[in-house]
Amino acid sequence: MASIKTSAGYRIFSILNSAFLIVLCLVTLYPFIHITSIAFSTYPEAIRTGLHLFPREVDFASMKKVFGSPDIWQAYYNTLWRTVVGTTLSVITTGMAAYALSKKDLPFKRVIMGLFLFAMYFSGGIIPNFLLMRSLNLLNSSWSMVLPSLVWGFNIIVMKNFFLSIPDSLEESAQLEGASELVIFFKIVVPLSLPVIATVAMWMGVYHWNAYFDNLIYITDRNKYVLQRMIRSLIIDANMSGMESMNDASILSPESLKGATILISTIPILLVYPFAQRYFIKGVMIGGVKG
Amino acid sequence: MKTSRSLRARIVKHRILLLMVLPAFIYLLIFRYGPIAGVSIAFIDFKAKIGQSFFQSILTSRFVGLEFFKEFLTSMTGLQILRNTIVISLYKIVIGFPAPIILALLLNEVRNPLFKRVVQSITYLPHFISWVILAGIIRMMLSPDFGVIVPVFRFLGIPVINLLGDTSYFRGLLVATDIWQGIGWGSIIYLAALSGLDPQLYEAAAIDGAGRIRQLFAVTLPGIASTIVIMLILRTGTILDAGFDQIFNMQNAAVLSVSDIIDTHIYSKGIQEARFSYTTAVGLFKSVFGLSMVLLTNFAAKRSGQQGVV
Repeated sequence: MASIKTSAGYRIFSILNSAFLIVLCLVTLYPFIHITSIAFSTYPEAIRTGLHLFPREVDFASMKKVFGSPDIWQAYYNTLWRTVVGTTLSVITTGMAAYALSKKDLPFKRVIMGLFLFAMYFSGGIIPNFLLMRSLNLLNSSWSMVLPSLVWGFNIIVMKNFFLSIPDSLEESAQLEGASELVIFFKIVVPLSLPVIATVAMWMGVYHWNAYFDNLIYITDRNKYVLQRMIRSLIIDANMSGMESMNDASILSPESLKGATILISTIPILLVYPFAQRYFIKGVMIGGVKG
Repeated sequence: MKTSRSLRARIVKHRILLLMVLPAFIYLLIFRYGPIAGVSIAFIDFKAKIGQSFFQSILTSRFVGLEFFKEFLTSMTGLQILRNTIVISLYKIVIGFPAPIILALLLNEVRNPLFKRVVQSITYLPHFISWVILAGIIRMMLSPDFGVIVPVFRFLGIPVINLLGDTSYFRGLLVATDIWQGIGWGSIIYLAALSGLDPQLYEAAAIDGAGRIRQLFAVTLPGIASTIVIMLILRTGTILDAGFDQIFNMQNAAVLSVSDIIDTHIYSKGIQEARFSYTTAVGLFKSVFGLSMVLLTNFAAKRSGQQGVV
């Protein structure tokens, strides 16, 4: 495609371009390598300033300590709980509603869709939400992390559009045999809709894994902290007493404990990342086209 | 009467479908429209009293009208916060907005598909990690005691400073780390637009003697201009969102004067100091402003020949 005249210049450009992209990748990855390296370092190595590409002196003590911490395991459990319960309930309620709303003849359809759409662009804000949870007696309840984010308007739209693309003939034959819509939905529509279910489940799953703010404002009981909140309290609030309780004999550097804590909470995301990436890109595309 | 009977007939006929939508509908009323109704406390001096229900407290509170809106929009603190929010947002738009476009253009020139995929996978990664973690990592790296940057200061022969605690660098850091986190993810939409361009256009341009750079300005940029415009319009619509998660996790008391934004202000005054009515008013101001901006920018996008978003 390129003429011979430009090809020399273009080759130089290509080399510089590749070099720049490699540097960008290194800059993106380095922080993660840095904390991983520090997590596995001895005390003097962990507090050494400068680059940490790999631990010059390896020590597993911090990782062991963090893995042995009941606080971290409790927080891990809480995060897993909200991710599994939150995602499951979300997908079921969103899926059923989206299926019903994909039917042309449904009474009140326009009103319900309109209410969902308006709620996508207008919210009561942090304080009315907080007061609502307080008057529902949900403060310090794990449900305060699941119920407020149960159904997103965007997910309704995405699932509804998918259901609309399923040919009616498949459902009609079941209908003739007298199956109710609920049975048709679970027996026929759901098996055909696994791609969209996986997509929405992935979005909700990653949302729940990373969420911390609801936990921060609705929950004060340390036993109900989620992982991100625990990390915030240990690292960002610089609550060193938390780190020290983990570090009884002070033989571990706070830096390597921080690194280890960050590392073990990030590993699950890194494991699902190759799959998550694909589903999330789909979301960007739908969002870009449909909004 | 006839229509109501037919509506009743439709309800009976679709009762199972209606039952299927019911859980989501109840959720919507309680957890979305409950708080929306709750914004009414912005107009009263709401005091929660012990032994009173939420509604009793509302009924016994004094009506103050727009007093709390006035407090926010006329007080020194309020204006400072509004200014911080808009300044940080504008920095992020002016400096950060072009970054993913440039990355997409550079990635588009990569001929090796494997290399391209690897670069994409790596640069998308920070998008999937919460700002709690990212801020934790950034704090460790910029620590004046143990950080990566200490030798850089020594090399330059200047005293080691805590960049995260310095009002003259903090906003710059917010912009830089925001780009670092979002550049890869932001490029997806532009890459999609680029892949939709007709290769024949490039061939025609090449035949007309256009070099690479000329092709960039004559074919590529005009081809993705509509995507750029709509993304810019949408971004402008969220100007009062300066990036709560990022700022909330990166800020500290030393840099509050340059980084206290609307959302962090609502958190500290509302949740920590329990000034419910005032912070609800601030939140309502932000919501109404945000909604109007969405409608306005959507209108602008439609006017510029784009498909709207609402």
